[in-house]
Amino acid sequence: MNRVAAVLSPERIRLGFSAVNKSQVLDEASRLLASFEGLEPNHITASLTARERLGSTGLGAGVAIPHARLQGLRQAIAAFIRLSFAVAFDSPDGKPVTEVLVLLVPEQATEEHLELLAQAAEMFNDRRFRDQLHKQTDVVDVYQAFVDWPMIAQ
Amino acid sequence: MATPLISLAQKAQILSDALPFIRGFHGKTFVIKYGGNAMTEPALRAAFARDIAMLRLVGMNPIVVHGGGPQINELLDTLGVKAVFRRGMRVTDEKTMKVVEMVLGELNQEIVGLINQNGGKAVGLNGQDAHFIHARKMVPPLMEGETEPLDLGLVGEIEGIDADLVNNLSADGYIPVIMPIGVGPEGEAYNINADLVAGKLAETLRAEKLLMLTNAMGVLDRDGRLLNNICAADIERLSQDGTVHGGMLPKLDAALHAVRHGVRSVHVVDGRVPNALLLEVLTSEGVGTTILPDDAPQFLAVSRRYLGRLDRNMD
Repeated sequence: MNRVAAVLSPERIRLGFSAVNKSQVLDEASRLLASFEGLEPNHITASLTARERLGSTGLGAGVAIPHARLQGLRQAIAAFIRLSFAVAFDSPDGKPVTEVLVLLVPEQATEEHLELLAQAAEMFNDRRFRDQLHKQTDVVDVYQAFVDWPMIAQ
Repeated sequence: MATPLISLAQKAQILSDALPFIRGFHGKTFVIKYGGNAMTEPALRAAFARDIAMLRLVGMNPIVVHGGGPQINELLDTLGVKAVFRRGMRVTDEKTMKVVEMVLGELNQEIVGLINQNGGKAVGLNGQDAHFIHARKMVPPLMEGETEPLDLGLVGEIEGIDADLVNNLSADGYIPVIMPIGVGPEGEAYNINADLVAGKLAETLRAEKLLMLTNAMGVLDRDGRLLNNICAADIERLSQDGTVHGGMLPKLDAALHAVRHGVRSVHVVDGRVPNALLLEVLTSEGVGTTILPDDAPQFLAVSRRYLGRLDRNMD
């Protein structure tokens, strides 16, 4: 299984969240992740926001991968949120975002965690993956799309 | 083509989904290089004019630059003048230039008319108007085995563009539709490649996007697969190793220069797809290749710094 699917789980996939801006998206992501790790949501939001200040985590094509290092976290963990309406994210292509993969890594992040980020970016840069993901409307199927990547070339 | 049946509720949903895109691009300038099938096939042409009028009416500033290659060839053919191309550029003697000006002028008015029928306020322009495109004779760099530069006749290159005319028209709600003719210091007209005019104009205006309509899926790799996202450095590599050739070369040259000089993104769009412009601007996924500046996909570089920096803070 790829690195991203390995740290994601269907319970941390939320489809159809309505937000009007980036900060509401990060708040929701923090709530979602905190309930699994017993972490303080405000702490997560603050870390995600700090990373955004260094440069947007929007990739283009409607995708963003907000991420942060977090004190007290033992291992990397991911959540996926699909927004009901696209939200401005200051992405390189200027387009708003609907698909948001959130990654948290332990404070003592290693090369492995950077590779996790790299693989997440590679995954979402793959048009076939994005198309496959867009088609899925059910949490289990969305999770399966993550598990199935990389798909065998047609 | 059959239209898939969608309910009114779905239609409303689609319109509603466009809002964040319209909001994000409100007041932004898009330079659109118009050519290929999108300009010759009646159904695609009508859809293009509607798309342009629509983008303007929802608050964006589209600016159209058009070529006229196939139409020029057609008339030259009828007149018994042989079209000669060198390195993707038309060798232009005086007789050819007359034909070029004639065909471009006619096409320009057709495009203006179509956009206006759809509720836009298009204005046809030629680089001679207010002398806004300064040109000089193009002298191509010497290639291996050449002792003197290729003489392309009245083919010009751009010295500079005065953005005032286009900016003023755009600010007043008009849609400039520009034919690629420039003027030299003696008032002589030059035929300029429309891709280069579109690229330079986008740079001068610091456009949000340069959209180039082509008759291709986009930029393809060696195996003929579409490249969805590339950066400026990738273009250099693809040109040097011969993956990209022919008419795509001037397009990518213009694209490369544009993204390195202030244009936020360039899109090589498949103009054979109906409403390609709306798809490209108002949906997440474009139809073709998106070209970003070298420093745009900063995501991993910033993350590496971010993780590294915190590592050092731990010490």
